[in-house]
Amino acid sequence: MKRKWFIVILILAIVAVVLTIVFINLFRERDTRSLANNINSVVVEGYLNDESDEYRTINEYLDTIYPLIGSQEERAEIQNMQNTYKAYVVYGEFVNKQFVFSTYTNVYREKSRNVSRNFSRAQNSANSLENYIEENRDVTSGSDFWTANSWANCKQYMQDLFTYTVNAFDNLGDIYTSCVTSPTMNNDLTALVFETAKALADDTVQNVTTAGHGASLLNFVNNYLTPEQEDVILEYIYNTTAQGNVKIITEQTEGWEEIYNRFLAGAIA
Amino acid sequence: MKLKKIMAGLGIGCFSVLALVGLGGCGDVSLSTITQNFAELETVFQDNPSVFSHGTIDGMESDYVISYGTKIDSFVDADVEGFGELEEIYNATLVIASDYVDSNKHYVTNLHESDLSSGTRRQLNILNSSITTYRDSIEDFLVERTNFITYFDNFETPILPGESKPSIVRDAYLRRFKRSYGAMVANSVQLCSDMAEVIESTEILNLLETTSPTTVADTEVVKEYIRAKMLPIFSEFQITEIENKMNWAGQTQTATKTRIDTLLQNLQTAFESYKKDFVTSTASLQVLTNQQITEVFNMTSKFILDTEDYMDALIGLNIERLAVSFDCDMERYLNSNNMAEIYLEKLEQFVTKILPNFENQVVEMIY
Repeated sequence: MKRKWFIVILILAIVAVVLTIVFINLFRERDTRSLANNINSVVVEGYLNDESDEYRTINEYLDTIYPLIGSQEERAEIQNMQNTYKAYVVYGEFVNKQFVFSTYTNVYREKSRNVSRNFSRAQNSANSLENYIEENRDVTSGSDFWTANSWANCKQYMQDLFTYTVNAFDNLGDIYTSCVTSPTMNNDLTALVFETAKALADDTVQNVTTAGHGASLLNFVNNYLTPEQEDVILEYIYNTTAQGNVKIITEQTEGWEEIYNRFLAGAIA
Repeated sequence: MKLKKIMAGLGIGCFSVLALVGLGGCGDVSLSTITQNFAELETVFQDNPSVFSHGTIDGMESDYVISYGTKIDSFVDADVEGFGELEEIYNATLVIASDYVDSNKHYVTNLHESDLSSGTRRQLNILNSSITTYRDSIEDFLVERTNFITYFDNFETPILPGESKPSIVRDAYLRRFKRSYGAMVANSVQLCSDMAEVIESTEILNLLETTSPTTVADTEVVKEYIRAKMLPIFSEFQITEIENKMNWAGQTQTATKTRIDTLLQNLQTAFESYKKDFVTSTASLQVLTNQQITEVFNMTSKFILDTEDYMDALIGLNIERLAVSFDCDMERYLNSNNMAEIYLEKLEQFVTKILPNFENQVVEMIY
């Protein structure tokens, strides 16, 4: 009889604990802190910081190796991946400054893990590439022979860094548009900028061995997302001409191509 | 028998929970209570005419000019460190907040009780609580003011502006006085904000967007509403986060402190601009169309969202902790608060760009 009661009480206790955990998870306030911290660590301390060891080492290496590669397509690939990397450093800094001021949405729930996963993989690729460059440069004293032939071993790391970073930002733009609370820093213009950056990045991925695509992405991002260009976005909500142009582009009404080309070149108003 | 007792206990427990939930919606404050509380607040001011007198602060005429008596009046001068802001910032803020509350309390207390929406009732509860909190902080202020004046009357000799004769005791009395003053000002701003929320909830502002013809008086309502919504931007930073929490001037001078000093100067410049545009301006207001009124309110709604980010950044940065625990060393502080730099940049962006952009747009539309 005592044993029977003990089992009943034990079962009730287990059910109570399970229900408590379920209710806590159902009703706890959800926030975007996790991704905000992740972005911050990658942008401030990780490979997307232009003062980090990874960034400097990788870019110095790519600058060195570019003229030594014989194949035009290989050179184009190096340049496209390097310019894309630089573009996402700017993009990442912009997002990092705003993302801590955001709210939880369904888009966040659906896509944030993907972003974090891709950032993590990109960071690992950057670390591996940096280590490989450092170790082997030390061993061979940085000879031109080593440099020219090292690309075969470095290429995969760089491609992984490129692919994972593009994947991360493809989703990050959507999350930003859905979650960031400031109407000044999150509006139709920023949404258009992120969509266009995504299109240019996809274009670079599809045509990675053709020169110029990565540079287009980098120039575009520099036109809108650098601190020096901040006023373009800050003043957008009061600029009816810019708002009209954004509407023409997004709805692709008559004459949109010409306005779009000016937009790509940094002139939205 | 045991089982019956258990069942009875469970039943009473469930009933109690349901009763509490059911009664949770009851207890809304009545308009007569709010009227009574406003009257008691007014009594406090009337009972202390030597403290709250009629005068002019920064070109603003008001019944809430704080006076200190002859001896301290000689100290309350912009050239004497620590005193200048009492008039420029503290009293000026109190005057602006009080003016808005006085202008609108008649409207609020004469609403029809039976027509109140649940949203308005909720806001009225909050307003009522703010009135009593504000009144309590005035009582505290009166005590500290008396102590402050007594100290100077009995112990301190006059100090001329420009003379450096540090007095630890004087500074301690001044800081204590400023804290109670700051708390009173913060509560007056809170009351002002809560009054604006009540106004918003009554949908009178929606009427301005839909009913014609519009008049200059309607533009005045719009201007006053925006003025009330903007006021916390200045008081929360300068008074609540800085003056009320620490001796900022005495903190270690680092690059980060210099940056925040610059930010505070920019905030003060913005406050002067705000007073010029929204408080003391003698320019004629335009008659806005319904569409223009809608446009101004839309701009204001967006600006309020940006203001919430600004407030979050203030809290997130936690300047007191940065200064007191980390000696204004941002690099060390980042190990403990990894977003500190982002919060500081957001404050800079808001004060130097977002705030003036909004103000310029509104001024262009309403004058």
